[in-house]
Amino acid sequence: MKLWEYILRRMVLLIFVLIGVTLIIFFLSQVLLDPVTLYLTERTREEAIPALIAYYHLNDPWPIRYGVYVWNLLRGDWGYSRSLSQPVFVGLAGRFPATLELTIAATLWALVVGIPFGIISALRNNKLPDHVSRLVALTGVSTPVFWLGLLLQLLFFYYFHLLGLPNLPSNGRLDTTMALVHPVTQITGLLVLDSLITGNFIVTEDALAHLVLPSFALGFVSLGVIMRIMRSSMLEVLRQDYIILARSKGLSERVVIYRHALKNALIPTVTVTGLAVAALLGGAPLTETVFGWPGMGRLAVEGIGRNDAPLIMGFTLIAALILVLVNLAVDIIYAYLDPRIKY
Amino acid sequence: MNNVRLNFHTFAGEVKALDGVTFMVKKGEAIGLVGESGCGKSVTALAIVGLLPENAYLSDGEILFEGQNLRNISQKEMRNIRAHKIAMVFQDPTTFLNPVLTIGEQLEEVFLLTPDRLARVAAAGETFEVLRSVDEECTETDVETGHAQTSSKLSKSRLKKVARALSVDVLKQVRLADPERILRQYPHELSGGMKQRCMIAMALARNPVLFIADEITTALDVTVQAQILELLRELKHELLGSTLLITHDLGVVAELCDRVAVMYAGNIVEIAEVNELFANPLHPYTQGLMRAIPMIGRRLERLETIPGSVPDLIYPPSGCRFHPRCPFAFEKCKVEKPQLSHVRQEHNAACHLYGEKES
Amino acid sequence: MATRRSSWSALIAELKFTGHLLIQNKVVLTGTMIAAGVLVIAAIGPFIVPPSAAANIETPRRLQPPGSEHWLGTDDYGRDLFKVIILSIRLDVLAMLEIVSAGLFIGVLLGAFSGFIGGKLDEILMRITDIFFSIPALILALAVAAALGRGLNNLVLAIIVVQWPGYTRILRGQVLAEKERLYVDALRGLGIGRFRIIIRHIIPNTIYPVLVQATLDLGGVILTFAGLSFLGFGVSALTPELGRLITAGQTYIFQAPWLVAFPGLTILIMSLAFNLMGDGIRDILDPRLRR
Repeated sequence: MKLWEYILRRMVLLIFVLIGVTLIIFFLSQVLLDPVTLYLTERTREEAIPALIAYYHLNDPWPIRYGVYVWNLLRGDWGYSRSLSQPVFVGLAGRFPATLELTIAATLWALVVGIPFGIISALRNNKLPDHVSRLVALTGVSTPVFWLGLLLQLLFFYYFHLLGLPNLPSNGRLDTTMALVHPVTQITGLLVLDSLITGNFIVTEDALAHLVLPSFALGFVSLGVIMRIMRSSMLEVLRQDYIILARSKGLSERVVIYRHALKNALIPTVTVTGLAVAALLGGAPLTETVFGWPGMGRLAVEGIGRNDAPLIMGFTLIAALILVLVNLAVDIIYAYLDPRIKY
Repeated sequence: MNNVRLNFHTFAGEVKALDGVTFMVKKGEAIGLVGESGCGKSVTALAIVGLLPENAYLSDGEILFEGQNLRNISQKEMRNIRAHKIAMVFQDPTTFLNPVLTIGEQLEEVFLLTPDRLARVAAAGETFEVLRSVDEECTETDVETGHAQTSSKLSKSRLKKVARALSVDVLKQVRLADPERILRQYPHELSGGMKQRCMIAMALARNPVLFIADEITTALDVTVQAQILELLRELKHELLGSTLLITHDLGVVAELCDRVAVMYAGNIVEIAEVNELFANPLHPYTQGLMRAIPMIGRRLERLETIPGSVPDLIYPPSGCRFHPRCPFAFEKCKVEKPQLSHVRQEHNAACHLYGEKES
Repeated sequence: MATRRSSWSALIAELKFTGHLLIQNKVVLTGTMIAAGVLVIAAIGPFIVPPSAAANIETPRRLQPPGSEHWLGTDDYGRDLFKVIILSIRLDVLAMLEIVSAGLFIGVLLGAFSGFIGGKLDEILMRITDIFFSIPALILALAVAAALGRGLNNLVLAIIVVQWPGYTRILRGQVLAEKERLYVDALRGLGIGRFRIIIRHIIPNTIYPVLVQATLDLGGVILTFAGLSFLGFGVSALTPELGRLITAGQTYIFQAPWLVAFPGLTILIMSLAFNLMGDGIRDILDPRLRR
């Protein structure tokens, strides 16, 4: 089987999982809660409700209700968010790029710092870098991400400012006046990218500055985990027989590590990255709230305060969709890295 | 190797793996190193190429190769020697080949380590034959300084092409069919025998002065073993320099080797020319080994075992390490360790039974 | 492995042995001791610190920095932060224990029966756990909590919902291997019902890895619980709970950073301690898990 056939097959499985997810959300939003609330807007009048019920088949047996529900999901009708005065889908879609940017940045922190330090920890096994990385990893896994975010704000925003040091902003994606003075054309919605493409470098700098603290806070947990897994899989690989053969060929140590060992060691790390992204998505609502980041997570959290169940359910659905896609990507990369995988 | 003593630091204690090992590999000969598992044969080989694990250290002795003591040279020089002069093939081709790299990648990198040779080959025609003759002409100094010289004359892509062509050719030398296809494949797609041939090819690629084969047939099926031995026999005459063949199988030794050294518990206890050894085993251990294997031409007797078991190398026996199991042991054996000494023509043994005449 | 009357007695003996080994590794020991300390504080909390310390509001004393009188300062309501934290520990610890034990209970039972009986039931259950794994934990807990409504019990329930699939998976895997063992056939041959076999024999023999995972999860559950509390789920505003303290402290973060720093530090220490303990248990039991 070729690679694209493998991808296709996995996507089919993906659909089944998504169906399951929709079932759960359906259960939560339509069985536990009053189903009508999903589709009520603030302008819906009493008289209109029976028509609404009929339209969404809310009085029919649940299999039909479920079918209608999924059909509407596919059409883009994810319900109505009264707190936003917008359809859920529109509200979420608007904030999607912000969360995407934050999550990507956090993942980059975790990988770009975690992988090299993991390698170093393995090469300087049981020496100082190793102990440091173990400490960092353990701390990372035990730290509440929202607290970390708050502390980072305290230090890098407030105290730096007091001390007269250049400080990092703690709120939002851009300075409030920036959007007026240097408007950004939105292409992808990822501010850093868009401003780079359009040459709007002032905005790039500002966007990056705003991105640093929240993405680091979010990525910190996963950073530690990736560091440790890279370290342990590297150590494992370096013990293997084929490394002895590689050395016996007279290859330099650097070639042995980067050509022979690394590819093998990355395999378990890639699998863990999938789990790490799940943790990142979970931490997004907290981080976005703390940093005033206008993403979906914060939207959902605000929805909690306003009892906006449709919004929360919509957010859950999209989070699951993202995670499933990321896992698919991880599986594909894994199959690419390891030629032994039969597909 | 002269009087090499090698120890391992372990949590359980100091493992005295090699206890004064001395032997010589002559130019062009095939010498076998025989012994039970754990007697130190593989460790000896690893010591030569400098691939011992971290907890091993040489406490005494020297390893002389082409006039140099391998204990004293730098890492860089050692790597140079591994790339050009000493090649080793290991026991289990499944674990010793990198699963994520193709055979081609793993084979070509061996060639690419010696760009100077490749440059010369490129000029004269890209076959293994040519490589061989290039190597024969090659002098010492060329190897040491060669990297800068001729390699700059060839581009990277050209070097790769030469390496590719040579890889195809060397795979033919180890009697593999369809070498172009194999180069593209990954180790797990090949059978055990094929993988082992590939490993042998990687060694051949260097046209080494010393070819070390560490139990290369042990992990293979019997029929495949026979094929590999056949291959070695053919190659022995054509291409290889000296060979150090490590095995626990006396049959292999009988087929392929000119001389044999018998090892027990970290010592060489007997060295002889192969026919001589089989005809007149002198050391009681060797005699025990001979009795333990069935041989064509002997009457059907009971296969005997050597009583007792291999000693604990953390607390080895005093004096001669074999004395607890030796049917001929006497007082002196417990106290003093026997040295290898000349007993017969081209036949040395380390045993007090034979007196102490210098070899 | 010989047939046993009941495998539970053997399990208890092994647990005792594990406890003994736990004492030996220094780092793990520190973690375990801190964890034990935390549990003690949780237990005796209300007895050493009167609950009134959290209930009484004394505005003149509000927002005082850490000092000799109030070791960790006071909060917006004039409450001594140190005392309030002590009281909060109890709540968080109890929640953590409830969540993990309930999750274990459900997960183990489901996993054991599903794995042992197999067939359609097993298939379906595995698909269900797959689905649960596709939704990030915190987000799912958030959704469930939102659907169930406010309140501490609903929050605990929501996190339990997220916890059980992991245990089910692990246990089922173990059970699949265990049910092939000879003694199972022997017991069936004697006519002993499947239910009894599962409860008295299969579960105690397979529960080890799940117990290890549960201790590893303790630290994480604290974080999830505190995180969702921070967002507004769970207890009401004045009730002493670490996450909620941070929510309250957020408003004054620049004026009175201690209100955020110390509760969060407590969460970190608690999570760290249980993680260390869990790591230690896993390392000790690891070779022995290869049964």
